[in-house]
Amino acid sequence: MSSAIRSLPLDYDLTLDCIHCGLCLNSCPTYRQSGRESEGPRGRIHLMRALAEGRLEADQDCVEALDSCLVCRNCETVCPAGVQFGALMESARDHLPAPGLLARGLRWFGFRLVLPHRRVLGFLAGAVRLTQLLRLPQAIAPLLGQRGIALAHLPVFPEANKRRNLPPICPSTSERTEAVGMLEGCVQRQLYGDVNRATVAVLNACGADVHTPQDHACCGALHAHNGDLDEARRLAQKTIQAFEDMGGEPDMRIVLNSAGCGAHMAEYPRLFAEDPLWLPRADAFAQRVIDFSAFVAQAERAERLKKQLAPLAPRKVAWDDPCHLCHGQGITAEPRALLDLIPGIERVEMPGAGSCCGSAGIHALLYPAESNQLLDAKLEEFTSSEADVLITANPGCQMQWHGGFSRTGKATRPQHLAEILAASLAQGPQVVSKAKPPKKG
Amino acid sequence: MSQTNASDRAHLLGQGSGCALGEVRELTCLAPKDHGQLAEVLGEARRRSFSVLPIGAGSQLAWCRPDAIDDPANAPIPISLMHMAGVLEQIPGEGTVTAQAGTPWCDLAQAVEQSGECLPADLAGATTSTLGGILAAGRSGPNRLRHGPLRHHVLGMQVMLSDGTLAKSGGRLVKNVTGFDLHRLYTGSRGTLAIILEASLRLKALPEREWSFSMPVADCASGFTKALEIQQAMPRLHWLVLTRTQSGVRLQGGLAGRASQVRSDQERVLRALGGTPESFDGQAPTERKRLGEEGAENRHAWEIGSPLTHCAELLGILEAQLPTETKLWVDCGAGRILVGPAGDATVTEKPSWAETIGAEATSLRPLCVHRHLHAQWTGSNPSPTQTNWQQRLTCGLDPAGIFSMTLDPGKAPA
Amino acid sequence: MTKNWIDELRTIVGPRNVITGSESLAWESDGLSLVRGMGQAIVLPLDTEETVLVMKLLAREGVPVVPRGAGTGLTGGATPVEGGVTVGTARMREIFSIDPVGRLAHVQAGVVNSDLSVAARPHGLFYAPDPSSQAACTLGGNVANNSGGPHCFMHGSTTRHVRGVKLVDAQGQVLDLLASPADPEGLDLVGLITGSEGMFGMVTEVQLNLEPLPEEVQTIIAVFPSLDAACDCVSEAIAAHIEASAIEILDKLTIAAVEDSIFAAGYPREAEALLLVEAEGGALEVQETIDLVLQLAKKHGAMEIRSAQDKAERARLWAGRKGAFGAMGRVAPDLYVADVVAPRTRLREIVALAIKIAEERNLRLGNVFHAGDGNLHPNIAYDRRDEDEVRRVLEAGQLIMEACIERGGSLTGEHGVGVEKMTHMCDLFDDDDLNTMHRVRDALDPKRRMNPTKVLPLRACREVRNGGLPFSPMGNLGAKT
Repeated sequence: MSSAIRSLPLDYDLTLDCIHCGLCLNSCPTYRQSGRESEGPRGRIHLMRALAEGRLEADQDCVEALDSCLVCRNCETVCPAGVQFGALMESARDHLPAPGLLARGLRWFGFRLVLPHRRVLGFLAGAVRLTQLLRLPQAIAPLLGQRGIALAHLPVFPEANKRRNLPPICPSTSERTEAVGMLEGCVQRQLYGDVNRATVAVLNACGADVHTPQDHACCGALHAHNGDLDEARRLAQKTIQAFEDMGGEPDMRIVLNSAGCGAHMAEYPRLFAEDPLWLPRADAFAQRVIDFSAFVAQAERAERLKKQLAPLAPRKVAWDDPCHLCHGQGITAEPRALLDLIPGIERVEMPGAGSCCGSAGIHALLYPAESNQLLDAKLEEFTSSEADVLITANPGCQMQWHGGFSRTGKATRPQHLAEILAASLAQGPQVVSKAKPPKKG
Repeated sequence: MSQTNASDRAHLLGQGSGCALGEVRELTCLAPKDHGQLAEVLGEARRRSFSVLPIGAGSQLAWCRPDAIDDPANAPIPISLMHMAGVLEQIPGEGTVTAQAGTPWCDLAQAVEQSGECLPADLAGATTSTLGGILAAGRSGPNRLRHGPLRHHVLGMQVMLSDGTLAKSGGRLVKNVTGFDLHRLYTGSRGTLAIILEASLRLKALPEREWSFSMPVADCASGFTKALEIQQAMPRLHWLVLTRTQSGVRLQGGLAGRASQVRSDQERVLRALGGTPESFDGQAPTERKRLGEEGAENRHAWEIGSPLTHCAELLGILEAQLPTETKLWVDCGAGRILVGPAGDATVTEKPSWAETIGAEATSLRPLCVHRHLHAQWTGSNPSPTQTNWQQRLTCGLDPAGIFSMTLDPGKAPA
Repeated sequence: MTKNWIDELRTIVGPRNVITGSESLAWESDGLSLVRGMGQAIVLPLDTEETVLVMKLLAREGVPVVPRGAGTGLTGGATPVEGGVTVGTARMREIFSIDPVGRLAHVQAGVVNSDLSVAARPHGLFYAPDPSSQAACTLGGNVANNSGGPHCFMHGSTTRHVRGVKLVDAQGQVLDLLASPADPEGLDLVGLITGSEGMFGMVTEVQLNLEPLPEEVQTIIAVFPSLDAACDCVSEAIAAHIEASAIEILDKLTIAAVEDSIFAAGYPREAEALLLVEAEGGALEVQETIDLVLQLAKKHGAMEIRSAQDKAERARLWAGRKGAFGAMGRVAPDLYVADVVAPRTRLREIVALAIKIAEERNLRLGNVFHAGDGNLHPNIAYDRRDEDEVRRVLEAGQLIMEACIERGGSLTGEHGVGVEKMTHMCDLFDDDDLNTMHRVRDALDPKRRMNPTKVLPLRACREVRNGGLPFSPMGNLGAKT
């Protein structure tokens, strides 16, 4: 792999926004962990700038410093100069070699051959489920060190009928007021089909018909975050096309229940900054993208939903902000407001709710020790909040928390915001969802 | 080394440098009229290897009065800056004052009061003390509880080193971090590094109203516990002092500031105190002054420093061991305990209680004790590195060693 | 050639915590990005014990040492020096204890300023000095620079809050001044170390005073038709002995930058100058203080006065103020932050002079400053790639400093001298003053290995007489990309 860096003027201009004030440092999980300036936002920007200026060669040390970033974008939330760190890191990684064999393998095999293809995904999910039932991961875990720990505590892929497609249209269960599109996703659909069905139930209850494109898998977020912008562009085009072709109302909102996908899709136009053909389509598409919580928390919908919610068994719930929701999309109040609608439960604030749990796309696979350390801190914060249930809204976060609860022997499992809302709906009399009500944990 | 006594050597220095002689507390001292003459005096002292001692008003020096030293031939020769006095700068609206070291503290206090301001340390008892002397001795007033120690309000200084170098540090403005804060080093250095010539202080607004209380308590230990409670209940207390005298143990404290606030706060203090405290309005400043005079260091033999968390326990130990007539004066804000006796008597023996308080106290400093006792006293136990740093600084700034007699006479400068 | 002592460093602190690779470029600057330097390595010890071993080793090898906290300083104090090793406190993040009775905190030097206040809050206490970088800067760095902040108007700079330190000196000896009594025994070494910009050693642990949370806080903003009027208002308030806790002024350019940023605080954009005043203490005194401010603001022509309605709004007003420096990144890629102190009776005159100096050089100047303390921050936005602009910025900076000193002001109020203002020290101090500082330094660090080429100007004749130094002075201020 070439260590020469292509100069990219766009990157360089973005690095100039940073005036090196350092206010980002303490927000950065990897900086707090290692104390290394090169593993903090300011240092990474400085390295990118030096790379672009040709003052620095992209050797292993430098690549690792950039690659160890979680791209949690916490630094964007605290940056007074408005540096677009996520965008910077994506384009920098696109120009850098992957730092190790595993990362390279994931990029070329996982990202290109698996994620974009429904059938391959489905086959692999089935295969992994089989090994999980045979407890193979647990058997080989000791050989894999920190990585093995994470592997052994992955959630078990559900049986095949839970991994099936949503119907093309799920009609509203209350008075119909609108139609929306929804992305089922790649990992989400295979591992957390229940979450998708819960999402549909909630949207239906709000009066929305839910349309889903039938042969589409991946939005390309992981590709963009991990230095494969070409593939990310291709998948973005596929996604845009799929939703344009899907029918329904032309301007209907596209609701995302996965924070990572939502943040990425809202930023599609950036991928096509120099493509006059696709830029307008990406723009129009991005305008339609909205996060599930932001969509449902809108006054009339929330009002309608509230009437249908029935009390749940008393318990304390804590909201953990997915990074790409709070830092990527600036959404923090809406999910909390929705949880507050549910009768019976009490919402408690978890300290450090906006800080990364260490999942961060494939970070947990590439840097298992660091990832587990981040998660340990989060687990402590969860315990200190005295909550019974952890609520979040991103498949990666859910997997990470699942692993953490599992390996520390906690008898709780993380839930998606849609799941707890749907559970409350399911208690109510009016709910007649076409989609199966979710299984409660 | 000269065989003559301090007074004779003072005359020698005076003749050699052309500097007039004066008298402070019956001691013959050199009284230079300006920087040039002071430099001459120091030059003469270096040539003759005489040690010298900036003496201020002499109120802090009971323990090493040159006439009380066994070996008069080695006694330092006092230098008084009585002729180098006066306010140098006080611009209305800046909130600072710069004055020469020889300025009497009470004159300075009066000068700033005219512009509606007051000095940052309440040393009303220090009627004769000079600005330079108070700074060199590192003194603070009981109102450090509210404003912090006086050294925090020293903004800059000009000093003369033993080689005659005039050196300034800091400045005259309220905020300034240019260069090393050497004025912090000179403050409390007891004349071992340099002679303070002038200093700038931050001023405080003159309070609209003062109020104070005085209340009997059973003993010092419980009184101190009470003091901590009161502080929790009223964080704006300006001072809080515990005294043990012939007439018993009393907890006394005061408020100052905006009239309306003081009125409302005093009610809260009274509620928190319970019992039947005496309360002072108009006489509050007089009471404060009286208490300040009682707490002058030269009326005590020992100063003990302690963390606030250990103070009550420590006072308990002291009360159990000290004769009942020994006075105690405790600045509750600083955890600073002054131990009697009253009057100007000089202690000549190491007290028996000193051994038992070691663990609870962080420092033990002799005040009014005989010089030879000070020399052998090692109760405070500075670490070797700390001692080493102090020696290095002393030697670095005063290589001739003419100032360094004061703090630790046993130590020869390298 | 292999450097065995670097391997020894790795044995002491672990291989990940000695950085010598290409990524060490990330440490080449601190908050003053105009100045860069590269040393031989960066070392990140975990605690005092590791620091002692590191410092002893570096002493043995005669290697210069640059202490570094979070690297948010604005004068280049933490810039690596050629041939030196940067010793950072970024891994020393433990808060050892908080004593609610004595109102003291014992922390490691790498603890972030605002983290301490968060930890102290459950005890009803907070740590008062609040530099604008408090969300990132370390307490050890605050001690080194005697850092200030808006609320230092009432509470005073860092030096008034440091009760004790543990320091590892140039030779690796530990100076433990932690369990000090309220007044120092012997010389006030803590007072000397605070603000010494890392030239006497590495501070590894700090004992700090905490303050009780105020009972009442009120914050107001007043909109002025001109910067002059706002300055006059402050000067008059100071003369009236106002007892506010913070008095800040922001000008139009700064307001626009803040309002465009994520820290948008709702500052009125039409304001030529904004006065931000906070008072804390008892309810009655706070009200009187605020009333006085209102009266003076009206007298000086304030067009609109608003007070923060709740905690959240107060927090927003302050977040905007504290993000102001970073927000200026929106105006241009680089920012020159001056830090002069003006006599408080001459605020208007000196601010106007700074504006004139910048205008004459066609520079964009934003003013955001601690008006109550007379501590001005004329901020000049520029692009370091424009050589001529850099020259003009440096010239303007110099003229502003000179103008301030001429009028009885000072070089730096809270940022320190570092590399940036070193050559200006002679404007404020004469040779004897500086020699005295050198004597103190030489007494404690005779080989001048601690943070060399900073703070005290090196005058060639003297240096040569003293036998030269193991490294060359950098003097690369104004280095171009």
